[in-house]
Amino acid sequence: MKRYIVSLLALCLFSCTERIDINTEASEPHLVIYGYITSDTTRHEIRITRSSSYFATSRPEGISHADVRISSGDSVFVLTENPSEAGLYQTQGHVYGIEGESYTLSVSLDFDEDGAFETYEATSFLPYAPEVDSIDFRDSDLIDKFIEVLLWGRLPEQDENYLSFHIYRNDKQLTSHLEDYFVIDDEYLDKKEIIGISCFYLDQEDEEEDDILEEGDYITVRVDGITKEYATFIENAQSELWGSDPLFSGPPANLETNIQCKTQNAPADISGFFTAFSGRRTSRVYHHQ
Amino acid sequence: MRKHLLTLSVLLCIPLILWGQDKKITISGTIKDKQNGEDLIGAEVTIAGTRTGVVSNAYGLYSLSLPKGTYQLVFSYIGYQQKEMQVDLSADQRLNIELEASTQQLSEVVVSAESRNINVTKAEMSVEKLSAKSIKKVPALMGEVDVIKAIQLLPGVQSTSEGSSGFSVRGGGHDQNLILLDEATVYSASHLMGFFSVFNNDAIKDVTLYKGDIPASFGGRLSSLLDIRSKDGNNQRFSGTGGVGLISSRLTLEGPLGSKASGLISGRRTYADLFLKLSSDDNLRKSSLYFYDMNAKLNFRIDDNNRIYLAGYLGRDNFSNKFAGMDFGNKTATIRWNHIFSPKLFSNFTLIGSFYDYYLLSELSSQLNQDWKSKMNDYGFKADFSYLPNPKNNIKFGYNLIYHHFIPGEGGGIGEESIVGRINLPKEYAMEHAVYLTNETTVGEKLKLKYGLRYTAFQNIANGEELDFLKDYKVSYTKTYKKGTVYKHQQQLEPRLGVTYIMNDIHSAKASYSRTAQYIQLASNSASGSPLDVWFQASQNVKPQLCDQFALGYFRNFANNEYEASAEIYYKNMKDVVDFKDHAELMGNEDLEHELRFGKGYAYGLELMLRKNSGRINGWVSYTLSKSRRQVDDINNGKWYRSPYDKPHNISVVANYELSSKWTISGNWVYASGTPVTYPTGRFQIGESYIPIYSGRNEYRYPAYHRLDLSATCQLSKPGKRFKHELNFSLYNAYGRKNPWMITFQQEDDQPDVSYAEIVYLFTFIPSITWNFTF
Repeated sequence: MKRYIVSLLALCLFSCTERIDINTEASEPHLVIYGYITSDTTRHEIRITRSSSYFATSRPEGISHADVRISSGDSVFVLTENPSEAGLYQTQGHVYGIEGESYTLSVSLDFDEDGAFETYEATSFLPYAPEVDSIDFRDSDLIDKFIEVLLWGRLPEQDENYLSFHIYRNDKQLTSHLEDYFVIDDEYLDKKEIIGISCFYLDQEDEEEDDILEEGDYITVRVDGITKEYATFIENAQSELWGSDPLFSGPPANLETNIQCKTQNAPADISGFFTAFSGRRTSRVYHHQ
Repeated sequence: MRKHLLTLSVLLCIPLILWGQDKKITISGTIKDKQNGEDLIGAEVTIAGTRTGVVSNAYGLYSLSLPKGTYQLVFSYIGYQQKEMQVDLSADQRLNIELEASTQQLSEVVVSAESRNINVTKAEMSVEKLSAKSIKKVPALMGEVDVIKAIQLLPGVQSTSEGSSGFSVRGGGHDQNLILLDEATVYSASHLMGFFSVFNNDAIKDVTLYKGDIPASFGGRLSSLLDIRSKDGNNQRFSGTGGVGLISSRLTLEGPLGSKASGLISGRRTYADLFLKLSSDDNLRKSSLYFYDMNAKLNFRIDDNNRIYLAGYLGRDNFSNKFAGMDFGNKTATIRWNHIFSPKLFSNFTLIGSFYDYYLLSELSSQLNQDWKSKMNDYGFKADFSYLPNPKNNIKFGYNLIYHHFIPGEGGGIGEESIVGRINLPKEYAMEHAVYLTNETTVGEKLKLKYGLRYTAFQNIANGEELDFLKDYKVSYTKTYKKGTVYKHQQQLEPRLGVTYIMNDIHSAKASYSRTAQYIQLASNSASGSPLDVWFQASQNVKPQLCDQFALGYFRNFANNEYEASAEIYYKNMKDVVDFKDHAELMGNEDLEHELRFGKGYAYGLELMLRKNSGRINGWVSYTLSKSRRQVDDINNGKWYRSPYDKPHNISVVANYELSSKWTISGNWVYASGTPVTYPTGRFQIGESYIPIYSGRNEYRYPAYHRLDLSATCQLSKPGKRFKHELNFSLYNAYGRKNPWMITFQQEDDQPDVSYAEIVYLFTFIPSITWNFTF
């Protein structure tokens, strides 16, 4: 609902923007651990980095030589560091998560390089995925020059489902930025059947042309069943990325992490998130009607 | 409690006993404007050559009891020619006075010394008064004369954000101001997302802002009272006021209704939506964007001792486009019976209704269409009494009751195809009671004391649903109470004290202490708030916020009272301050109380003011030096942080210059330290996005705010004509300062690892023209 309110606000505000130089003192580096295990059979990745100052111009520094494992019951998956990218840890390619199971990430590393390793842990449930049957397209009645992507499927029978939607055009993910994730929760949904819901609006006058569909494009929609905690993490991250306006936004705040230091006297603050989710896909070739 | 009231009663009675040795004769009556019959609030009645006197109350009534004899009485009011009358007091008598407004001739400095030093002699401080006339002179955004924008130019008052009608008083929150229109609470005092206030200046008679030293007869908010009284309606002749501006037009009609009544009706509406219909863009053509408001008042004089007032306000905003709509507004209604029991005892019985609601609609698809609405209804009763046993004492006492009925939210999916369920947040009911007793007394020639006590009680009434009882912000246990039972009772004693020492007619020193309690709060963690914010009540989990304010002031007039100067220092200590946890979800949250965090705060400051009230050049210069801090559980790691309204330096210059009988020019310049803000100081990467890591809460500031507004008014009518009209040209933000409304942080499109900051600003050089008329 908040997004619609902002669109209404645009009706009555004529604002301008201009770049401004702001100097902020760099905060102490945080340890950043972010990654997930999914129900796909693939190389699952955990990225471990050191945060940088906000106006740094390079990618964050990866932290090497960590011991990284994901476990569930008796199963333990050891992640090894990608030799070509420091701080990127991957499972073997045959690994997959099972819906309904819980997964624990354990990381052991020496962040402050004092010779002693610290241990970090986070646990996530892997929720059940929704079923996605098909997608279709139509010119939007609502917004000129937009194409709506409609989805059919059904939600799992559990009480609460949290979903994250992604879209690919010819296998290129159009929702690669966190701001583009479309997250909903069905806390207030009273039907499990999804009958032609408009899940994406693609701008056919998009300046970057990513959204512009051409005859024969292969469009895939992926719907992930995610945890409530991860849905909250994404929504909070999105609100931080969109910025705070004086009318509707609260003050900016750091994102809460589910990663905990198990060693006393953690050498740094921790950021990031570990989660597990299940995903389903459906695809269709685009033909203009 | 009984003991406290007894003590206070005894204290109140001592000066009465001391005074009441001789038989006194009472002269009483009303003081009105001769031209339109409006009651004059705060007009002075003094015995010539002495400081003995009284001030007319909110209904223009005065009462003065004196020993038998002959007196020369002086009736005076700022901006009016004073009147002197010799009266022979041998028996109680009634004397109604009409004062004539001073004519605005060039070079003329009117009003005598006795009437102009009320700021020095009156037993009140931290009070700012503005007349509709002076508000009209202030250059306005898009030509819309605005009470609250004028208030924001006063010392100790800050705008909450660029262009906003929200305001902070002495470091307090924007929800800590009690805004009353004819005694009815106005919960959301803004139109068009805060850019204009809901008050139509043409319908307003008098505006008083209490920044501290709030009278014991008022309460319910921590920081301030903004008391707005609408005009009663001209009882001398039919008259009108109106105007046509760039965004709205307005018309006010008033006049006598028979020999005993008068009335007023006033309306205003914007017409931006009419232009949208001309757009070639289909989306814009189907959009709606307007607000309107209406004021009406009727007052009926039954006889010399009984008057009835009916006042109402209705205002609404409506925005919509093809897929979403929003609609919100206030309604207030006041019915007041003004009864004079005796020349010494006045009373007022008031029934009040105050209503606010909003409605949201989103129409994306038949499966996802949703609506949402929220309502607040207040029903109030007030009984207020003024007893003036002698010129040295003015006793006020009374009882207030407000019944709150809040519907925080209900809505959800619309239609059979919708997959979204509907929810109803639990309704909230409460009773807010207050009794008060206060006396203003004069001790000798130089000392005035004001002391009083307000006792308040707040009772939550069960809605029959299960309630959470929280401990350390987590549910400790739940309990269900039978619908209609009072399940929580909270109370406070709120003492109010004031001392005025009058050194002579042009110097005085004043001190005051007041305690205020606030039982309902706004569920908003944004800087300015929005029309979608709901209020919530003190409860089993929420204590009332408390504020103890101490203030000292020095008041000095110069040049035969042409210049008024004041210096005030204040210190506020706040307890049980309410804030919200990081990333709190406030809209549509059934567990709103789980999102709250509690703490404490303080604010202190110095306010300097130099004002020139008359002459060809008039206006004021004010400077405020202040600091405001908070400490709240779980926020900023429990460390103290700057309140969102902490702006150490604030300067306002307001000037009007009567260039000729035809042209008047006005200007105001404001400067304020930048709004406190939390900036990113680090970042980490998720996918292709960089997530900010922030500094401590409000550790940085936006660039300083400053702005110059100019206006010029040209009288088009010839002097002496009944129909008067003028053109007002205004230029908002004359030198085009790009003051930040918000600052966002972005990634470069072509270099995603590079971040930059971008200022979002709303207004530069907004010219406007308005045609105003009166007849």
